[in-house]
Amino acid sequence: MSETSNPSIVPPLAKSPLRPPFPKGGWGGFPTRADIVILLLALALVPYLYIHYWGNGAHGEQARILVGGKEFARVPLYKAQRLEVPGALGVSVLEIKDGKIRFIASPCRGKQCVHSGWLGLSGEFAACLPNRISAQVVGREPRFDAINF
Amino acid sequence: MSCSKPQPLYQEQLLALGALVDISIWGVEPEPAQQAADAVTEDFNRIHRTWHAWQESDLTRINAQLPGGAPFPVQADLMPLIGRAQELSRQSEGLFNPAIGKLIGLWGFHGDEPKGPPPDAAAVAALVAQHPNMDDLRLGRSRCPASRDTSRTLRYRSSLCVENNLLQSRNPAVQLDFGAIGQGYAVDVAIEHLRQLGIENAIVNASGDIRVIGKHGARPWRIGIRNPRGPGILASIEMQGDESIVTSGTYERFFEYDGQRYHHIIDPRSGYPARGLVSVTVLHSDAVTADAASTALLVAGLKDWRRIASNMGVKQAMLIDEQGTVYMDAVLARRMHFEIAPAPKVEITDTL
Repeated sequence: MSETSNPSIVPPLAKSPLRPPFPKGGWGGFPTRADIVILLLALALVPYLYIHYWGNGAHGEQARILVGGKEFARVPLYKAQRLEVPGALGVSVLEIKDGKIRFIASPCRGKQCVHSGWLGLSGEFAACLPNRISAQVVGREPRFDAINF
Repeated sequence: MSCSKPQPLYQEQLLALGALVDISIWGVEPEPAQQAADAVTEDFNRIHRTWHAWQESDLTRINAQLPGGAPFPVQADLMPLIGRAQELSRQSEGLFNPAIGKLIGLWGFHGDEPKGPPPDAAAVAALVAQHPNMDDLRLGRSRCPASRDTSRTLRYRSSLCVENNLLQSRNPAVQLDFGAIGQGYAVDVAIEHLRQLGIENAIVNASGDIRVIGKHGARPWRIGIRNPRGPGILASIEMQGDESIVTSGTYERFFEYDGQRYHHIIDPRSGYPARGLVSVTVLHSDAVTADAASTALLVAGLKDWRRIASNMGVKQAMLIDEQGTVYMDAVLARRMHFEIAPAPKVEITDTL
């Protein structure tokens, strides 16, 4: 483990700038087609792994919909759909699109839930209290632990 | 795929006091966390049954007896909030006034779905002229004065007298409505209960009235403040230790009639919805003070808010006017992080 190195085993790069990067024939013709496929697959995984482990976890993954304080449904935000949720006054309609959710119709008069607009960040929520329906965005690491309003 | 440990965060939601209540508890095993959340849920339900202003409750029974003018007994456990409301009302120079239940009802806000039309101007003026108020109340110390002082300088002298769990109103216009502090009070009760159960890190959030204790593991709690003038989050702030944040906004409850919007925060001086500000956010150690102060500052407006805040012991507040300009003190300005681009116009005032 001596830190002094023997100069004789250092590759004489300066003297042979055209040295091939791989031993000629020694590694069996690297890279093969299979190597390239594996390499491409690994590269394709990089964005996913980046988002999963280092990405912006603030963007929610699911919406948790409560009716009367009880969980009515958990729906993924990646799948566009419309939900009709029956509440105390009638049906509230929610729309999911592009990783976000919003109320688009509700039988409450003030329509605060509709005015709340799109919710996409983990921790964001909107509620139609007269209809006793709420939607909360949940994700891995919430951007906010609570919303003040 | 993930090998990370499950987050030690327990969350529970419930509907009570006309609010969506969110309880977050950090760092406790799921079973005791759930027991604590259940206990807090019962607190909220009990407060709902006790203080509801228009559904059958202890408060509606009190209100039914107030116009009679004779002293009547009140449960001992109701007295602390009545006493605290008196004190906060006095500090706010009557701008936070939970004795104007009749006015709130006249405007149609004693219902789940206020719909208008606005009340007759003469009816509003008649109620305002009676000056129902909570100021100068004495709690179990001395006898209620025999007659009401009607001189102008003492306009906010007591019209209500609390003594040895007896309550008496000498103004038939007094009807109590704790809507402006009910949620803050419930949040304080809940946090106190969580502490008694050994919980050191938690958030209780009742429709945006928030109190935090401790931290979220290694970091502070992160609170988003909703944009009062549009969708999304306006700003964020980190909180830890023991601190409350409450916002009163004109967008919370309102009705529209003939193209005009009428909101629920009634100025007790005029009898009409307060004008000028869209929302007021107050930080304070306890949620009930923050709740009362946010209402009082919204009524006070840009001219008087600093004096009222100072009276109420408020050191950090943010006000947003109808044009979207943000006003806040220098201490809060250092903590607040705007989440919208471009950031709004901000006017920073001296430390409160």
